[in-house]
Amino acid sequence: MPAWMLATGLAMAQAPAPPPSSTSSTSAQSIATPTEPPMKLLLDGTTLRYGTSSSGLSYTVLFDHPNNRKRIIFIGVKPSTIEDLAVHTIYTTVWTGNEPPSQDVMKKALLSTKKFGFFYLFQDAKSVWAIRFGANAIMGPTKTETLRDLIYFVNQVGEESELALSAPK
Amino acid sequence: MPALLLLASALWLSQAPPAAPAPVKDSTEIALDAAGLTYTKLPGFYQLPFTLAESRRQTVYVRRAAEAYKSVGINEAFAICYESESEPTAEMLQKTFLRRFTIGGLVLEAPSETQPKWRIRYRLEITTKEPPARLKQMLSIVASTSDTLEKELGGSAAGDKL
Repeated sequence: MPAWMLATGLAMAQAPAPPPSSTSSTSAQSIATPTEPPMKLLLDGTTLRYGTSSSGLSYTVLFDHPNNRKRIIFIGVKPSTIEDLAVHTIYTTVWTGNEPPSQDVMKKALLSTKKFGFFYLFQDAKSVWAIRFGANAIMGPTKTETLRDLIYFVNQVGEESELALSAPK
Repeated sequence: MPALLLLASALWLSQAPPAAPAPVKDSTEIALDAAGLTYTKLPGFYQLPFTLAESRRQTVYVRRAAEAYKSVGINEAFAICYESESEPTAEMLQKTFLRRFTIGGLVLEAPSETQPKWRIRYRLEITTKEPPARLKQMLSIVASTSDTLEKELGGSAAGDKL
């Protein structure tokens, strides 16, 4: 049995019980079913409130921080695959600009090695530049609790990094 | 008579010197052994040689101390894919760190007391309970990805030095 199927099995065990037959079809659609992606099933198990990005490419988890700051964590809906590994990237944006980041800003971010995860640059279709921090969730080894903790870790590093990058020299 | 022999044997055994304690292996070392991988123990790291296509070689390092965050436990695995005495330019950093990977990512390392060069490492995290076959697979990914990057990035990454 592939590892991701084991993960699916675990998440399904933690999904809410099916509704009674009188429940409306709208509610029924939100209930985890075996046809839903393994990541959705894992996310359902975390009890985190999540949505879907406007592009539909990512699940999103919103965190509140002091001073009315908000942070969005993105989790890829579809995994990327390498050999038999299915990998979801969990990321958040820590810097944005209409121009590429300066060498100082890049160095500040890229040299700040964390316990795990990685910083990378991104330029979107509107030519907005970003520095992101991301980590991998490999289907199989990643269980519900691990996924939740990875999301919290990316949130924590993302918030600290954004504040550090925006701080004056 | 047999009882006497048994007693004598027991006395002799009780006087035998204690066996030397077996070296204690951590879970990563046990997994590396189980995966049939050759490695050298360095202070803080396991060093693994990989032979790739075209007789190219890459050295992969696995950090011996696991990192933890709540339920997440990982060992960092990495290989050096770029090394230079001069600081990377903004253009080089931009071009390099725009790359995205199916798994893992890049880390920039500045010269320090322990090593004199600017480096870029390809890094991925291996969970501490990874089965041997998966561990071997992931370390092979580190070696081959780093080798591809090394060819593309130039520099003087020997890949064989910490």
